[in-house]
Amino acid sequence: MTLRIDQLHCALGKRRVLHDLAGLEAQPGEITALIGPNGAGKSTLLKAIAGIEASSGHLTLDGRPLEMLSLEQRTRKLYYLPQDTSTQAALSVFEAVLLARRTQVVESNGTALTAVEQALQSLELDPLAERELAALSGGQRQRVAIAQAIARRPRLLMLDEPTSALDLHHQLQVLDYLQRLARQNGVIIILAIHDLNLAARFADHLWVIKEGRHIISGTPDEVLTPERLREIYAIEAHVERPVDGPLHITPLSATRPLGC
Amino acid sequence: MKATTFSPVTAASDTTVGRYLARQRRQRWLIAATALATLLSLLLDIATGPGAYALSDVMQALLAPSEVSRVLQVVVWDIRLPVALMAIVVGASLAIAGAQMQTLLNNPLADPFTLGISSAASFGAALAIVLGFGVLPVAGTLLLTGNAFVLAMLASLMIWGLSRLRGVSVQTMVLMGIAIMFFFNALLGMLQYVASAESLQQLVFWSLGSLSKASWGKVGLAGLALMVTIPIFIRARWPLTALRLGDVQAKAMGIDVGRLRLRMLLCCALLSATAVAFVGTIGFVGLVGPHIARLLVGEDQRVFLPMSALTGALILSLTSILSKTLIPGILLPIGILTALIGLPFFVSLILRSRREIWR
Repeated sequence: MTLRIDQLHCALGKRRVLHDLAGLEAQPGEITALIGPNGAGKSTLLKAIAGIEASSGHLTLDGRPLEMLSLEQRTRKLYYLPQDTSTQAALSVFEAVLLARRTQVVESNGTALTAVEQALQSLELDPLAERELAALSGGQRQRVAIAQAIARRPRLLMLDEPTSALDLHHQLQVLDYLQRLARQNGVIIILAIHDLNLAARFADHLWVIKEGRHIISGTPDEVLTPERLREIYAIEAHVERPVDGPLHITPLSATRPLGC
Repeated sequence: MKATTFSPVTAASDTTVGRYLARQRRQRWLIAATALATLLSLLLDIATGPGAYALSDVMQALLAPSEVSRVLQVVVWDIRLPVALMAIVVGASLAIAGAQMQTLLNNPLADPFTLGISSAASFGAALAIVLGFGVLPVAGTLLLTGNAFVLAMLASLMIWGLSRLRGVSVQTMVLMGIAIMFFFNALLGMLQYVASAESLQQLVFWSLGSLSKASWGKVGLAGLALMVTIPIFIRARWPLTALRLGDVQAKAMGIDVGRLRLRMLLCCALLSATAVAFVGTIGFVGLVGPHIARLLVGEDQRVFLPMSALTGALILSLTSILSKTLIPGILLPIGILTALIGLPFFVSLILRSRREIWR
């Protein structure tokens, strides 16, 4: 099961956000990191794949065009986790994860409860199961949102800045879990992420978009070079390439300081 | 990280599930207790009036009508039971409509009154009372109900139409609802200005809210609106609950948010239109009922919906008793009482609540 994107266009109102994105592929068992500056269209691309934003072009999953599927049918195969998971809903953590499961499949109560329990255990959220969403910290809520995604068991999982509210411990824990999830279950995972060091460490493949256009895609080694970083982010950066470890990027300066 | 695969849990402790099931049992007990309290209130409402009866007499009149006096039989079955049942049905209708509008618009102050749906219905009713004008080709009681329903639908469609515009937030929708309320209130004021003394009196009395004109036919129609809409809400219980996580998350779960809003707003319009058409303006039940329900059982629609209906029914039933007993010999308009009791109760609920339910 491979995700392919070709000639994808998307407009929000009269503003065109994605321009002819083509040649993008995400493979099962791999993590693809979607990187690019603010406003590049990363969230819009993920929403377009999920069917939340209307788009034109070709999106195929396992050779089948996604545009032929209704939103309901599409979201049985894939799941989009938005960046903003804040809510004041008077729902317990368990109820929220059960909700994610129940909106996807019709099944026995026992099967649903087991799936929820497993998703909560996966992210060590069982101690919080009875807490209300409104009473959680931003990071806890983000982990609950990831548990909601996991409970649905999608074939394609798209996460928009999934670690933005997490502390360092939970960032590594969650990304490590997602990596194992991709490897062991053949799930396609696409992450929109700003932390390039995390992208270099956990992603197999990078897609770079800027101003709604596909700039480059490839492995972290191919994409994360000082020249490319200057082109994408307008920064000077030092890229360290250890022999037995992931790349390490140290941003040095912005090539265009504010006000210049 | 314990589990790493999607395989079923084989040896999982059921502690988490067990705690969830215990929470579910607590919620169900609370619903059962509220249902019992509502039933007791219904009986008390029947027993209360110019001639007070013992609860045992009321029970006997209800369960074995042939064994009680003809007078008691008539008082219970023909006069008080329709009124008491109307309080239950209208209370439940307004609270369900309020609960769902708060859910649909993600706003704690949304209810049929604050969004102008009731004002539109009131204007429709006034068209019938003052001008004898019918939007639908019907006559009699249905003229007023038909007008109220069509105008309430119109207001709901206006709110829904706004929700379809890109960039319009739910907050904007609520503000537009308030604008709709002022618009129909202005039209209502205009009709009051040109109304004859008799129809003005009728209109004022109607707008104060009263259960006293309840009949079996009206109870049946209001009950029918409940019976039509409740299954629709039950079928949409998961999508409605998902909506509380925000539009994007709901869409990510495969929910057609626009269609859901339209269907549910139309159901809310039907409930509020029938309620307003039969009993006039009764405020705060649609606000307070859902808030109490939310504090007691949370917002999982499987429990939130029945709890909202029951708290609304209980509040209006208790208010009905109060309207007959507060000043002996005088029947106070119920709409005045719900406002007088509901407003401070609502404020205290907000102030005393330790949880910030709404941002």
